[in-house]
Amino acid sequence: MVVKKMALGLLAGTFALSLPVMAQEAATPVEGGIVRFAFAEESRGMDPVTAHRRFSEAAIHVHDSLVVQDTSNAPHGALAESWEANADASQYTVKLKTGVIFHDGTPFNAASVKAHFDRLFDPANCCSNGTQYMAGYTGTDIVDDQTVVIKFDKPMGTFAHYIGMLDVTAIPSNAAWDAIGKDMNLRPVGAGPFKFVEWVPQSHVRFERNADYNWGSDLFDHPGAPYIDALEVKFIADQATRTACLEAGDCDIIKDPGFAAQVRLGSNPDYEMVKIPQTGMPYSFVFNTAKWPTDQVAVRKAINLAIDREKINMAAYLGQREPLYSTLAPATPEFWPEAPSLIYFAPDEAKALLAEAGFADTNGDGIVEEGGNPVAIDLFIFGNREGNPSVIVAESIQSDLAAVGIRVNINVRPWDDQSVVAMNEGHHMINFDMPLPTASVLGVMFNSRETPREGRYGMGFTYFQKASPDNSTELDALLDAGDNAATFEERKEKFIAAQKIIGENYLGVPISAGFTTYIMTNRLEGVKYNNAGHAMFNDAFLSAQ
Amino acid sequence: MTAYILRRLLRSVPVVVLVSILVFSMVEMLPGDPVLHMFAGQYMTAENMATARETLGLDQPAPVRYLQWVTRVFQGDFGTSIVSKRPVADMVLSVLPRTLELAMAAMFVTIVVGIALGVIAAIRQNSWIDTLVMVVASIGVAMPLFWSGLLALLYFSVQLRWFPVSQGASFHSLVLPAVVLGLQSACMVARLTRSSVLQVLREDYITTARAKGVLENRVVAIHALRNAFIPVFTLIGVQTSWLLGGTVITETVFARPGLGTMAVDAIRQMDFPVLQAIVLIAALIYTSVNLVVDIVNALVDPRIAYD
Repeated sequence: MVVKKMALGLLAGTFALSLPVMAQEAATPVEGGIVRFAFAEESRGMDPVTAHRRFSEAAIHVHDSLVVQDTSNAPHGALAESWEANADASQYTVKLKTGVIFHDGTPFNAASVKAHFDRLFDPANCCSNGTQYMAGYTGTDIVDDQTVVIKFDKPMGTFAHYIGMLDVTAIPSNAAWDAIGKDMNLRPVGAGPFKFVEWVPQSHVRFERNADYNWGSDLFDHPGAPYIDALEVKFIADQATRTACLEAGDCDIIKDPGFAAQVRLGSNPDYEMVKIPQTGMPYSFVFNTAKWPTDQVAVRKAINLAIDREKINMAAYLGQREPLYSTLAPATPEFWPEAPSLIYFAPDEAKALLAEAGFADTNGDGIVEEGGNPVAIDLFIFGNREGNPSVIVAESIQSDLAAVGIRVNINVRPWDDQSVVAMNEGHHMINFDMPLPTASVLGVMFNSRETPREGRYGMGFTYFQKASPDNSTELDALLDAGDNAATFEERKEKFIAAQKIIGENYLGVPISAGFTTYIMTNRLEGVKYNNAGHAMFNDAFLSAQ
Repeated sequence: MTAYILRRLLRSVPVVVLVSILVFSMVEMLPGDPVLHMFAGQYMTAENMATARETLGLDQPAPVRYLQWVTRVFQGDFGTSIVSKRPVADMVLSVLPRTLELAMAAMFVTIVVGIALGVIAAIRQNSWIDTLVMVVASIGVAMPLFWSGLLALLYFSVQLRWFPVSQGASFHSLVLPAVVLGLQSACMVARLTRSSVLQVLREDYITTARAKGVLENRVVAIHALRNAFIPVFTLIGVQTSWLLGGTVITETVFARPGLGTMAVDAIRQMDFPVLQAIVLIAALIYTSVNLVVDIVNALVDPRIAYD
């Protein structure tokens, strides 16, 4: 097997420059055939306005967005020819490609874009995911048939990135929306490389080649219609069944196989594995900094130094992820390169830190105390007990911390209890996994505004505003400034400063960074990937071998 | 007999009402705000949450919502899926035939294999055939469905490539899941059939039949099996409901569309209207099957008093 790890580079300029993605091996494309692609989750819907929570990745084949970003976050015009922000990034002028036709035969133009954004913010279409990425949106002006100005009531530097998110800028046919309304969620009409054919619930979605397509992004090797005749996206929830589907020859490519399958098929020359590094904040814990004993920086640092992340990676993930020593994954555009110097494996130093802070084992039971109170940590993980790597991670942390004199009580809860647990402040350490594309994810976890409360879902689990109000205020300001920055340099500067506060106060416990993983038959070539780790089949073909 | 059937039907009514209350209360029983659960992981403003609550009718008192829900259900309206935005009744009807098809095919395997093996083991009691059948039946009962399903998938689909993995609605794709699901149930039926036939074969009227010179095959087929089937039939009735439950695992392992995979998805995605509909339908099927079994038992077994 060939294993490819897609390089995610740091951005330079306003998301304009990037490191190149590792090129696929050159081969002569072959026309025809059906590619069968399996992943776990059934589509939540294929319309960007009405899809519940998240826009389905199956929809990426039927819709083109204004911009598409490659695995190094470099933007490539898709439906947009060019785009430019004004000086304070509160307005974006977008010039659209000409000659683009929706699958229903109607033309794509400035009115299509305005109608889409108006629908996105229509209260009748409450709660579409895209709106959260366009906070402060005030409207879209049509300059001419191929030019729009998207306006915000504040600087929105992040829109230079979010303009490439399918949830935000995948533009459906306005005429089709007027005709069938919310049924677009089930029968999407877009301007993408494939046309929707059928959706068999619990089974598959089938797309056929859009023969008229000739406006493909320069991310692809060719701008024209896909080489394959059809694409069948199968929903197979069980990892072992997905792997069996590939090995039985009933699937050509599968997403996120189990770790054991990755190890086993890693040595099989009949398959190719592609691993795209996660960005954002992959598998980690954060501390409740308002609760004894994790209200003390020394304890938080000692816990970070006592954990053997290499061991966890082998035990829980069979070595198929990477140990993580920073709040943000290194592949994140605004990553602070010095962050990993703060976290390392040094159990003796962890013991010394605890001793310096006045913790000692006075009764000889192996657990250190302060003022007669033993140091016991309530650690919360989520999901099932069976087959859940989190359980292995938690048990490994329990054994590592026991070695430095800290007792860990492991609590396993359903994922949906996460906000309830945090709201009740019952945790010392709480688990989360947010592999989002940019450093804006820091705001979701560390901005005090995001603290969960009755009637308001939030993921601010640290209660840093209680433990250290001044630092928390500074951190909030930096996170907001980063989100509102007009340029990437300014944005990166703010987020690096934020990472310093988070890192030096040891607000979290990073554990491991994963990959979006694909395994495919060697017959399948030319698959490309975007920055969200989604597979795209514009250039894909099935070779004759 | 008519009075008995009516009484049995009336006794089912409180069960159905209780089930409907429990099913409706699923949302109420969750800790915290159900809207928080439904939109967990998504950034929601207070205004969006209020709108979602109003859209879902969660701003009304629970008894009012229950009555509204029951009224709609009686009209065949199970509401709209939070996730797919499709009418739940349409969603359920689109996959119900696939689940019933799997359950019936599995039941066919259960009856044919289970009864045949049980009878053979009984009439060859203490032979190597009897030992083999009982050992296999014990292993079959003990083996979890997801495990036997995966083993079958790996051997027959991946190694031998006799059956497809995740191949839509063809007869070919029905065979393996039906056999896996049906065989486990068949193992239970085989064990009960064996003991029931052995018990009947020791009855005086069987000894009389043999003494009168009736052929052994006729003794077993005509005289013994008829009575031996009464407890087996009751078990098969219970197994019908069990098979419906088993489809949840089988459909997931074999990636088949059906009520089982739909229920798993609904749980995963907190799609309460879909989950409520599936649980209610499953409960109604269970209650109906039990009713039919009771009535048929009363018909075939005169010892069951109608009053």
